[in-house]
Amino acid sequence: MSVQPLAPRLRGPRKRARPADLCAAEWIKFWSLRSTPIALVLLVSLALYLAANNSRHGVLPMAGSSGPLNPQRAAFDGFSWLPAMIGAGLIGAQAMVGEYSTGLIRTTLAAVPDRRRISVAKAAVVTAVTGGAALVIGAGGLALAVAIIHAPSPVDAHPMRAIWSSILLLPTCALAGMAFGTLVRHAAGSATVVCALFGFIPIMLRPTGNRWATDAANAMPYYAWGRLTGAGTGTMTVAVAWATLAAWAAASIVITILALDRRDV
Amino acid sequence: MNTHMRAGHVRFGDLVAAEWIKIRSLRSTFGLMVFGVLFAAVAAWWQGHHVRVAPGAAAAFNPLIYPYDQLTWAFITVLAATFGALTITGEYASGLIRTTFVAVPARRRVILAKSLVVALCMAVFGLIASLASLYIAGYALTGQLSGLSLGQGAALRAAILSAALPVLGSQIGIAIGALIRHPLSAIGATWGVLLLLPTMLASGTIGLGTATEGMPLSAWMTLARTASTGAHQSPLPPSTAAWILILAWPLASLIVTATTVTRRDV
Repeated sequence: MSVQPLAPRLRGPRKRARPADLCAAEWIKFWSLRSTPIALVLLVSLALYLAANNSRHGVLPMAGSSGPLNPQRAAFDGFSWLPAMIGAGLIGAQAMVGEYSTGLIRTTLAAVPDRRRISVAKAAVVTAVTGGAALVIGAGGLALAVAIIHAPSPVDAHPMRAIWSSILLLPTCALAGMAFGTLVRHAAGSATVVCALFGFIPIMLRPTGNRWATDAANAMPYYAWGRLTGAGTGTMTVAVAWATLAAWAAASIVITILALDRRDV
Repeated sequence: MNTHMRAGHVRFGDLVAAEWIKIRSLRSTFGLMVFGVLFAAVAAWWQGHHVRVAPGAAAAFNPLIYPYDQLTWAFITVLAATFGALTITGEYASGLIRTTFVAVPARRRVILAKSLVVALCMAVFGLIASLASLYIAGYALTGQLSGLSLGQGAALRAAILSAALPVLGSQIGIAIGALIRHPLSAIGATWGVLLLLPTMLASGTIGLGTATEGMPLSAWMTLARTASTGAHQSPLPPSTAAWILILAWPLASLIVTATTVTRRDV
């Protein structure tokens, strides 16, 4: 609450909401939607099913990886993660767009005039939830794959790196979805952008084409993550791959904060 | 319009006019279509531009796969489906659907009018995108491959079928939109069904490889003869089945939409 000379002061020493209060408020908004738990359960179970299925039948030919099937390839097959990426992006977009379509955003902004703090709290909630989902999918999928593939096929190098990069990937998608949602403010529009960016571009662009296509593909979170899991086809160095993912996440947060802060509503 | 209206039913033409106003007044509709046409044009040029045919080997190439690239037209179809889903979820999201159904209690007629207007819009969109693809790819392939003009029977057939593809996609989108009613989820489901599911089915990992043959894009590839001869060719339905499929998808979608909307409260 902002301090005005004539406004009666609230009892107690607190003048402004603590970050925890903002996070709690955003959490209530996020979790009280019936579609949130449904979407999360669907996402996680589909991803685990695909990981188990890849372990039994081999990965999709279009994923581009070759060589013998090992648990890490099966669990972190790029194509099988596309639904999870799109889902995380849509969840992030919904967190923002839902407020605009119901008009709740006006109440939110009136209650907490420091809008940057709202963006940060929202981003924190979305990041925590999608990061948790990524942990379940990554670690669970790898465990399933190890259990199913009995053959002495060693896990590729760096299984922990694969899990950590996945925990970075889904929140990055969600934050990007939030940024699109903030910019577009329209449910269908932001959903289309999220689907096209995370669903279609990885299928269309490969880092095996000409120079332009390779650079464009390598700039996508999908291929950066694929480089880190060892199951994808990104052709950059590991450090650049981490930086690409982190840059997407950071740019998304900055765009969300600036767009919300600079606009009227 | 007359101030005194006839009692009883509104004419079907009035419903079509009402649906047309709803669509026309959205700015995003126009943007989506312009983007789709531009995408088709650029993709056709890109596909044709990179082809190098050895002299004398042209007979071994099917020129139709350049203007009517599978991935490009999968994208065009899913854009059209997004548009279809938008037209119905938009009404649910804004609450306009209540007004619509109060004004016209015969909900099937509303759905029929909406489907008709969306189909007409998508036919125009599909026709422009299809012709642009054909002639731009033909231009990019000048001197290498011939047969990319409407004078050729195969090209004419592929152009018409490709123009019909967005119509088909939009009806699927309307059905998914009527089932889910929530814009974000409906669009996510549409892209999942039309873009990701066929790829997953085709890979055989789900264990339903034959179901790939039933997808709309597979029927289109059979009939328009636009299947690429890549390493991972997905199974295609035979010609008769493809004709049935390409008619059954929009009809089934229309029935699903009409049934869902009539059975529910709102």
